[in-house]
Amino acid sequence: MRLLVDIRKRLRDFTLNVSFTVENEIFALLGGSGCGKSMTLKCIAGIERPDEGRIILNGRTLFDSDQKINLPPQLRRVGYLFQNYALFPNMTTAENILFAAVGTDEEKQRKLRENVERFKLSGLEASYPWQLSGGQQQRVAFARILSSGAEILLLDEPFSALDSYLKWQLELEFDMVFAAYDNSAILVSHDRGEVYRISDRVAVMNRGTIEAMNTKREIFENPLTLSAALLTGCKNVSAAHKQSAEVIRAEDWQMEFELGRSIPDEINCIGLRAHALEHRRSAGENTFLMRVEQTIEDNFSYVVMIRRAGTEARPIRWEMDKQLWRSIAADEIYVHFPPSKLMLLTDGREG
Amino acid sequence: MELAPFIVTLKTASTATFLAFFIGIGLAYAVVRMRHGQGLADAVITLPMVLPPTVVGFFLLLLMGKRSTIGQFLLQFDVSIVFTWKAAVISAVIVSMPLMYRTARGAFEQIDQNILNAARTLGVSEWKIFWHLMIPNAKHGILAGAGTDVHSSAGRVRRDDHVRGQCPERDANHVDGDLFGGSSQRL
Repeated sequence: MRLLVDIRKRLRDFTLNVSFTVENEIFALLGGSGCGKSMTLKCIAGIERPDEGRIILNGRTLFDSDQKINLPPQLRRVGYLFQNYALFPNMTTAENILFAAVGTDEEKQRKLRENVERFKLSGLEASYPWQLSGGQQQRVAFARILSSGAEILLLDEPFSALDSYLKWQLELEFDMVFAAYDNSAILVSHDRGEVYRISDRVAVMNRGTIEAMNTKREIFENPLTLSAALLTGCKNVSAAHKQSAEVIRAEDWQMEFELGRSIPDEINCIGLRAHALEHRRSAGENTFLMRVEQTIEDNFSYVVMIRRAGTEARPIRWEMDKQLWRSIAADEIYVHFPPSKLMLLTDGREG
Repeated sequence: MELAPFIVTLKTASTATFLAFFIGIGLAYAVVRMRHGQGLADAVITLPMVLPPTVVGFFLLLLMGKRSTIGQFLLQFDVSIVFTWKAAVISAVIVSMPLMYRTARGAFEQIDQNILNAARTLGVSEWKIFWHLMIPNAKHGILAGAGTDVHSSAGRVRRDDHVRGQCPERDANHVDGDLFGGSSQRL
């Protein structure tokens, strides 16, 4: 499976401008609400029309503004899983699947039997969508897409309407679904955890453009831009200035770090995940005396807000096991900032 | 008691409702699917509902009377619309169809767009989407519209214009006007 997308579309507040290739992998578009990620999926499916560009799936041109090609959604063979599953409310489970199935009556019946079995829907064939649970509805939606002969799977925030337990159950079932598609899909989500667990490669979107695109491990460890850092769940960011080749000053935290690696000139922000800090007994390189401003007990951890002692710097969020905090709790504490965990970022908005 | 007016009313109203039902749904579907100019199409279709009946009748006369292009064309085949119960049907359809159109359009727009888009991405043809998804899911709204429509058509004919059309002492033009417009100033 190979999908090439290179499209532009003027939207109300910004211009959608995305370009990427998906090849036998689960590709995620991660972005906040209204960043254009769902619009991208709709353009691929043919529900929305890009202003210009091209979309090519397995060598078939679905859209090409130069050649004036714009296939209707019916001919694209693109499976779209809607957020609310969009089952046909006037049809039963079996009718929903049959309505989308292609082929002779015999083939349709065979597809129905296969997919009912594959998605554990037996006994629910005669139920209407409103009689099904959220998880069952999602399975019917998948069964329907699979019967329709789609070549790629587009998932539009598939879990966002579910409670966390059900969400987990469905995520576990996803492997089975992806196996049917040679593990090729595009996932759109604002949930970094979901993206990290499910996908292979991630593109971070902000105001219609892809800010960063890389393997998920790389993008979570080294997000490169401020908005990518925030979207991947980085809790602490600060404006920063390069002081010398390997020293950077975090303005908001009022601290200077010795990084032991050269700092590119364009860096103007620095980020640090809430779990990355380490406790120390005494001062040292990249270790500072911090004042504890606030402690918040979460269900499985402590969140401690610390700022550099003797300053009014912006507090830094530090999360750790309950046990660890109980053993080190104090008003002032030495904290080590591991240089390898400090993420050097650029703020796209400043150019 | 004279039954003729009653029968003509019934005949006209049922024919008009039947026509308005399908034309209204058809136009509603067409307008819902339009990408541009929805507002303009909407205004033109609903115009007869808001114009005074005399004005609508006058326009219809201009359009279909013996001196109009359409009238002249039909005359070549020896067909004259004005002066017949067909004229009453046309006028009833024009005036009551907007109600059907409005309700059908509202019912179509109530359907979750995702459901229709899902069907499209699954490869279901627009024809099947219309008959198997849009109509069943807009059924209640459409039937409500049809109900209002019967009343509207019957009410239109009830003005007994056609009966007056048969009065020999009236001049033809005036009768035409009554037949098409349902003028309420007469008597």
